[in-house]
Amino acid sequence: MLVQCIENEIAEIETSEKEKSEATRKLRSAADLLVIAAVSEWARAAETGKNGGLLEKSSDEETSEKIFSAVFESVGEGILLIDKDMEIVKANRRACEIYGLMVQNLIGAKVSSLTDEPGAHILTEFFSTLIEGQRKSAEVTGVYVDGKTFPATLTVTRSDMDGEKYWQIIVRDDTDRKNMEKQLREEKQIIEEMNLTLKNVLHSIERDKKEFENRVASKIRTTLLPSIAKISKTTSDGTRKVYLSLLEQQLLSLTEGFERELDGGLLKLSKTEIEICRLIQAGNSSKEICEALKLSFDTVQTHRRNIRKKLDLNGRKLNLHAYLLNRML
Amino acid sequence: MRTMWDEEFEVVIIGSGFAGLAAAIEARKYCDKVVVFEKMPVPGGNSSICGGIFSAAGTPLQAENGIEDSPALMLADMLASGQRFNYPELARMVAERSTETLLWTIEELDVKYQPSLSWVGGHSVPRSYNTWNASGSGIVKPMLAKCRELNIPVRLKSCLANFVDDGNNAIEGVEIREEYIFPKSESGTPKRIRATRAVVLASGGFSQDKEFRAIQNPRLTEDIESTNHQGATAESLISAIRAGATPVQLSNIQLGPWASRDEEGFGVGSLFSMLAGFPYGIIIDVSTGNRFVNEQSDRKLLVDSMLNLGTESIAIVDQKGVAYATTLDQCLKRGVVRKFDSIEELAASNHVPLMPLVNTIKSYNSSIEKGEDRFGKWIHKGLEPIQYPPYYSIRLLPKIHHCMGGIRINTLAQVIGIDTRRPIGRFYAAGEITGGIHGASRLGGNAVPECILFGRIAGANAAREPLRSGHPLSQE
Ligand SMILES: Cc1cc2nc3c(=O)[nH]c(=O)nc-3n(C[C@H](O)[C@H](O)[C@H](O)COP(=O)(O)OP(=O)(O)OC[C@H]3O[C@@H](n4cnc5c(N)ncnc54)[C@H](O)[C@@H]3O)c2cc1C
Repeated sequence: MLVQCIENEIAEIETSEKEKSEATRKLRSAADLLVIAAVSEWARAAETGKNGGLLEKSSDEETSEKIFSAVFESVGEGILLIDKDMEIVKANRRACEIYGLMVQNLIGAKVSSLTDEPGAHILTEFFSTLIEGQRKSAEVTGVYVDGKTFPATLTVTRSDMDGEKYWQIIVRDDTDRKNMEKQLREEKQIIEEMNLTLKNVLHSIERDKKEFENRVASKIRTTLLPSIAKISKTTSDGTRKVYLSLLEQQLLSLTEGFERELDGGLLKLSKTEIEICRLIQAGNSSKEICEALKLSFDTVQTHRRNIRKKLDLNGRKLNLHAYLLNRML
Repeated sequence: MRTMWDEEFEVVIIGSGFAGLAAAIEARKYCDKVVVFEKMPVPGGNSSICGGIFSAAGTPLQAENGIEDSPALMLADMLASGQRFNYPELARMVAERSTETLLWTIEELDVKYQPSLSWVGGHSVPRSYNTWNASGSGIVKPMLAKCRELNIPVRLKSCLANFVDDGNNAIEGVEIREEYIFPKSESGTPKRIRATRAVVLASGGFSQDKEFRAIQNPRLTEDIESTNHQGATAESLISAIRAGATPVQLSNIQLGPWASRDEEGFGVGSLFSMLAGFPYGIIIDVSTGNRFVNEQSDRKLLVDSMLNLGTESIAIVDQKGVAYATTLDQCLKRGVVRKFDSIEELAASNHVPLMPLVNTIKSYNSSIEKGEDRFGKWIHKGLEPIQYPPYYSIRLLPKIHHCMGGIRINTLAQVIGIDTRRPIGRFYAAGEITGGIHGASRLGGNAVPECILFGRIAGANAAREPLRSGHPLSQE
């Protein structure tokens, strides 16, 4: 419990992740040592209690037993004490929660019943090779009361008492840690996927660029070249001037067009109206427009009125040329 | 009354022992959304630590061993030990459907039992199965595995605080304290859970509730130990009474005469006395070395005579009798049962006067030969004189064990309202929380069939209640 609190504190501290995890690791191993010390003390106290049989325990002994069992009960890790028959002789509250069993069910049970078969083999191996005071850890698969399995780390320490072999096991349920690792793995995967996506985006931008270039080329082919052809064919000076200005405008729109703002109102215009707007934008007078489009003056004037209406310019002191100057058509 | 609900299930079950888990498994056959709430951090309650003794009449093992038995005989035994405080219609169901319930655990749950029957005190014949591991966990574990398989969540640290009714004499849901830390009643956060079909209360007895049990029976002072798990307390019973349930026979609280003075709770000694010491040995008063009671009486008679004695008592069995003990190794290992090469050593170690003890054994052995015992122990052909060393002794201490009282249900496991004397709508109960099935004294091994049978009935009936309509999760 205390360890948990300190761990949380560490998590809050503003320092590098590496320092934090180092601190947590140190704290945990200190806590483990404390637990191990507490367990041996507790077990010794319990042992003298038992050997004393009917005799009253001294009050000193009783207090220390109380303290140690309080530590034993409140540590955040599961603790099991195993005897030479591989049976559990003591278990704390956390161990009960980890395995979903009441202490009455844990006491007397074979420790092998708490893991899968490979786990049981590892434990047997530890029990037969560890020397007094030695400690070893292993990651095993634990079994919950309903048969569900979970990842667990077992730290086994041999700690003999009164000439009998005993082993303490600290049990850590790694479900959360594994989940965190899984989450990290998933996040990494997401980042990798994002990388891939970015690559694809770049790729498609490249493609778009190509497409754009193609479009420019085709625009040049379909609009500029015909205009130039018209210019070279035409005899009327006025008309040539009109086409030249149009050509200029078209060239401009090819280079600058994308930076100009797109106007909602312009979308309402008809094809002829757009044509007229383009000519106005290029600075042509109504008369010049009549000539270029082969329309009567009145018709052009009607178009101009309608354009003003559609662009919501009626009643405003703004001429069409000024308005259209910075818009993309 | 309109209520905000945090969550909704079809059947809501309180308690994860035999009764609650049987209800869950059965309810799941008829509907999808079933949940079990358990206040402790570990599931199983008393069921998971119980001795795993299952009494039933007319079983395959009885047939195999040529033992004649019938539900009628089992019922007669129940009514005799219950001193006819039993509601006969409920007791009859336990006797009549005990074998069906046993077979259900074998066929549905694949529970494994030991190959021989035990003869437990108060039963006229051997009719008790034992789980393979001499523990109720041999049944609870498969039940929990089944729940996992059926996607029935068992939510731990979730304590029932209150029932919520619909204002129309029916239960509509419960208030649960989530992340509850036993025994702090104010811990956790309240959540309202709606049951669109019904609620099943299966929260067990109150043998560990020192205050409440002393209110019901002042002789049960707080220094008396109990065999029960820590969570066997009365708050859910009180909630049920508040919700209109009928409390019955709450002062009928059983003490177990077979428990050991040398370990906490039920331990491993209780089964030693129950299966070997009492049926195949003798109980003596250590101060006199004399027998004082028929060792095969029901628990109430045994405890009453032990307490009347005012001194300590021990049970003694020899090498022949010890063969019936299922927990001998653990008992010896923990110093709960001690083994002696002679009666002299046994007497000295237990501070029993030797000559009277020797005489007691002699006279007991001769009553076996005569076929008649002055304390009324039934002399049958399996009973042998105490004469083959080594001898074994266990120091006895009666401990509070079982609550025969609780809330009143009918044969459909519906909770009976105290105002109307009719069922409260959508409210079921099963197991040790219910009262009056065993009367004044429950026979050994009769709780398991009772809890599972009524749990199944409650679960099935709860799941078949008509679905409540509406979208309450968004209600204000
Ligand atoms: C040590 C011992 C040995 C026994 N041996 C035998 C035997 O061999 N044979 C036999 O037939 N009988 C035996 N019995 C009796 C039998 O085990 C019980 O009567 C039976 O297990 C009760 O089952 P249950 O489902 O009603 O209650 P339990 O198994 O006790 O389950 C009730 C559950 O409800 C939970 N709960 C309580 N209140 C709340 C709340 N407010 N909110 C949420 N959850 C709550 C409890 O924590 C508990 O987990 C024994 C009893 C004990 C104590």
